[in-house]
Amino acid sequence: MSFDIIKGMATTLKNMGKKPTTISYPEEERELAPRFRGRHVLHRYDNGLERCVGCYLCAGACPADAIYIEAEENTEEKRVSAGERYAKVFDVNMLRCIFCGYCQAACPTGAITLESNYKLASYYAEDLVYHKEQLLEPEGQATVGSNDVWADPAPEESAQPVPQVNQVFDGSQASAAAVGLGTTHTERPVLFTDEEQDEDRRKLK
Amino acid sequence: MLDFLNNIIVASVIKSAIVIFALLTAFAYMTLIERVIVARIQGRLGPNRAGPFGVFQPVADALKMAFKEQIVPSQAKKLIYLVAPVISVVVALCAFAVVPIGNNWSGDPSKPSVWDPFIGDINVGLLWILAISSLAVYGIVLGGWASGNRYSLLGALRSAAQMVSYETSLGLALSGVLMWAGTLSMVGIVHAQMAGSAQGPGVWFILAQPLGFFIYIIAGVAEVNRAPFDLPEAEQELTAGYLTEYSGLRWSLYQMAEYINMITVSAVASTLFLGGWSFFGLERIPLLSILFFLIKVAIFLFMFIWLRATLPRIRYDRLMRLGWQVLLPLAVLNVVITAVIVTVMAQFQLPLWQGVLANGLIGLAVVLLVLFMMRRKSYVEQTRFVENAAQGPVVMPASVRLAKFERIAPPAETAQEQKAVQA
Repeated sequence: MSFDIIKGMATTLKNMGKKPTTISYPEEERELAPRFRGRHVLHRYDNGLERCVGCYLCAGACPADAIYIEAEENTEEKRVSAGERYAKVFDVNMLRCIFCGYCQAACPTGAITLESNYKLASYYAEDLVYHKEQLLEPEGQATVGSNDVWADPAPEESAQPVPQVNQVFDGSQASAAAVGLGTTHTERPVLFTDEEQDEDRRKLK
Repeated sequence: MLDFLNNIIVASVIKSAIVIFALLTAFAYMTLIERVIVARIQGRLGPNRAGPFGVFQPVADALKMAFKEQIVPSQAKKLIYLVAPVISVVVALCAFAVVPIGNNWSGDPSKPSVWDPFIGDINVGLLWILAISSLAVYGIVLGGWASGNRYSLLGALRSAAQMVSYETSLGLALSGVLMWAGTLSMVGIVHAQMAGSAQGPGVWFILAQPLGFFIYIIAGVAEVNRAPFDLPEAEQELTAGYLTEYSGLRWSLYQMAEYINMITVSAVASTLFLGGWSFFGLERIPLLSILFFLIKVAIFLFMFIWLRATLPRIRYDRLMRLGWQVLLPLAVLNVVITAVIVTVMAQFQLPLWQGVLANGLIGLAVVLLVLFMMRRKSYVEQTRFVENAAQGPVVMPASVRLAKFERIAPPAETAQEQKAVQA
């Protein structure tokens, strides 16, 4: 019994000599994992169009009911996103958000992702309901965000077709990007091209 | 003009003020040091934000305590509730009146002056300390009862029972030292341990009394209600026990009393067993003697903190069993052995070193014997379980029964009844 006490006390004394595992916060910061779920970011395509098509899937998936969306039709003069609608109002209530990432998983266009900003404290509760301008990436800086660490990056041949403006939708798209494409044409009709399988076999008899 | 300072009463009052001030500052910084050491043992940093290395943390804590609302429960017995923490602190501070902190300023034990670094050299110094620490029980019991809360009362009673049980062993362990030193005066005990002393063996009493030291340390930790014997203030068991109804500055008075008791136990241990302010002849310089004393007290305080960070709390019945069934017989055995050796030495005029050697060896043998007996008892009772990977599949001790779960099939009659009802 007592030699165990001596052994225990020797262990604790040895622990005094080891370096503490504390990370002294403001002076040092922890290295975050690539899939760290911090503040949300609304992404754009490379050509400047917003990815969010106002489909309400993220608001539906959110377990804390933190996302509020009002969608608005894209018109010829004002085309904001690549689909039929865009999100005119996109509010995320950070006080309700539990940072689970379900909105990121639900989004079909990869519009909303959770990035690595965790310094979100504020003195006023009103400041913690983030509006679309605070969440959206600025014009010139379209990124994919943390979506690229959730799956292997697509191979070279399947580069995501960037939807162009003023194109006609012909109904032959068959990928998730079709949800965001809506009335917009893409540069290439499908992601992979396989001559044998993909020939158009519709025949009018 | 400054002749009045040579008056012994004035000197004692001023020395007391200095000692009280030093003790209160020591208490404040003990809280910081304890937090830092426990944190380092646990692999984290202690408080380091309030100042460089957290030096202003006690100041921050004191300010916070001062601003906290002091709630007096409506069912409290007002006067005693207010006075109980004061009793604890005053009693804790009083014990320091006889502890010798350093050598005489003249460097020579035979030339005393009124400004020597001890407040009073009464010739029953050790008895004073034992008596004062018995009074410490009052502060706790009165505080617990006067809170008007039954959990506080239970906590206070537990604490009082614990302190009383270990006090007897404490006193008996110290009487071994008393027999060797021949005097109750604390200054006399230090002189008896100095090399070349006329009245004592000239070696530190830890060599002559290892068993007494062992008993004193365990009983001292229990007296102060410190881990692993801190059941009376365990938050999990008694919602802080007798401290439950105290908040703000009154609570910090109780904490002050506990830490100052800790410092007193360390000071008494270093005076009686480690030679106080003496250090192999270097103590002729009075300031160095004060430094040696402080270093010894600091070693004991570090051991207190180290014990707290390492050991889990002892269950109350095991605590009482340890106090009455193990420590008390050992303390009595220590007294008997020491008495026999001291008498034989005096009778046959043997040199002192032989007595020290004999007592030390017998004491060590008893300590080791007791440790082995406790280990053997735990094997016999099968409460000890050591897992050794080399021995193959794990064999549980006989006191452990593995539970088996079986599915219970519904009896056939009720199934038929249900069918009959539905039909």
